[in-house]
Amino acid sequence: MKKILLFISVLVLTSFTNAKTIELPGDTVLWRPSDLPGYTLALQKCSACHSAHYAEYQPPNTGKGYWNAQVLRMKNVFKAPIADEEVIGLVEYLNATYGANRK
Amino acid sequence: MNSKNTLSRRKIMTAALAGGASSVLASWAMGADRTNLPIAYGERELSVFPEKKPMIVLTSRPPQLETPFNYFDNHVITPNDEFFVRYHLAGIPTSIDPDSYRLRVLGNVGKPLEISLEDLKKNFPSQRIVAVNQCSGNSRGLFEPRVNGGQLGNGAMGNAAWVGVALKDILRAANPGVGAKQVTFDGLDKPVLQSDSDFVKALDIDHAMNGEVMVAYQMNGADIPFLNGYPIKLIVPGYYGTYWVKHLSEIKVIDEVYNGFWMNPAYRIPDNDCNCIEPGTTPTKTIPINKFNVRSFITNLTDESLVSVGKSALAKGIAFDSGSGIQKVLFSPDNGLNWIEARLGQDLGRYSFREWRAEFTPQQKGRLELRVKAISNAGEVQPMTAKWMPAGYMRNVVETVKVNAV
Repeated sequence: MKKILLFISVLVLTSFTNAKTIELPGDTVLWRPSDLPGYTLALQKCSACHSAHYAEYQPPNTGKGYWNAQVLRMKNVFKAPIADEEVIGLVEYLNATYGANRK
Repeated sequence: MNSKNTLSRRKIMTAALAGGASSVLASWAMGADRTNLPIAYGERELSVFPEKKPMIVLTSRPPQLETPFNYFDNHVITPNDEFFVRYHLAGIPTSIDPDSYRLRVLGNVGKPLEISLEDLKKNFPSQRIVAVNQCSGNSRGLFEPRVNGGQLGNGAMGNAAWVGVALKDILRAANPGVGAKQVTFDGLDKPVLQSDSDFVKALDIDHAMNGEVMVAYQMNGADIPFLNGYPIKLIVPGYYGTYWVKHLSEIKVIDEVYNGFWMNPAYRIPDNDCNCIEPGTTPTKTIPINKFNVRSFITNLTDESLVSVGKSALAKGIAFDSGSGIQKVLFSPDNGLNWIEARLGQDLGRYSFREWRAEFTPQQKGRLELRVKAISNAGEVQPMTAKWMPAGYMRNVVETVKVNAV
């Protein structure tokens, strides 16, 4: 077993000697908690691909139309696994929590 | 630079932060890790990412980092560790082996190529250019009425000396076929989930062959920072950053106009003379975003600055356009009533930031609205009132800094 581990570590070291590697920090802005069912959906569906900054900083004149367009964009263009019946819940959560209604 | 160096550099930066060793870092070294852009919902984190000084975090995943504006007063060439970062997709590479890295050239070409970094550096002539890279949405947060998208201040721009190979030489080696219309560019960043939304950009073949567009392997005398596109990046002088594809891995010659998501509907501007429309309306016809417009900034004074009545004060900053070069910079110490011609600094090339300086003597106490307006060699002048478009691209209004005379 030790021999195998040694072999693997030598292999890793020699294969990646010149590779440049970075470590990225974790998400620092999190989804704003809410009792709305869309909050749980956001944690699952939105967080799979991006941090909550995208919603956090949208301006105060942001309304439901924007959130609807974004959720559909994520679903249709970026293939986020959002079921048709989940779209409304996500939009309600985003609209109640960010943009015009951010506290 | 290998991974070990990267890590040790991060440690050094952390140490400098903790001790406040650097004057640039000093203001953030007191444990402050937040800043505010002058807009509603403008509070931002300042965080250290690999190979970067503390930067304004627009988004952490994928990384989108804005240069704190005070950094621009320190250098006309933006240091690599202060250069802004913009990714679109969170499927970004975190480890790249330069020895096995390949740039593929394919599509309508007589001779498809697989070029190693060593080939690129040894077998093609190298060239150098100092050029500004600016995000299409730089300053989007300052639009009025506000528009959605990445809420950036003015820091999604930078000026660097790029060394690499003319794209024309690479394409000639591959020998584009008859009917070649555009060239597409893809990098190692990928969508997180399988989809047709990979970040691919296109240029017309004539533009790609103009000798200025290049594949850079060096930035300011060093490897390109990982988050800026290590090990190679497309440089498109005078054009918005969206075309400057990072971790460039595939160049494809095609016979049609590429119509992928990031060329259409993304990154489009109104197809009219001002590339602008009435706020709240929707453009009837759009084209892909292309060249920068002319801009200028005051970098040494802010709305918090104090100047003394009766004493000469210095204003300085930077100006740039899409490559005609800066003809002159006008500075107004009185909100646009009077304008004086600023002295221009060293000319580092027509695609570079151009430094400017002007002196003024405050006459009375109170708020002074300082304004700066650049005029390009092509005769383009910055507008006094901001133009508007729904995507929030291409802001270039004459900037104002309101100092306090005491």
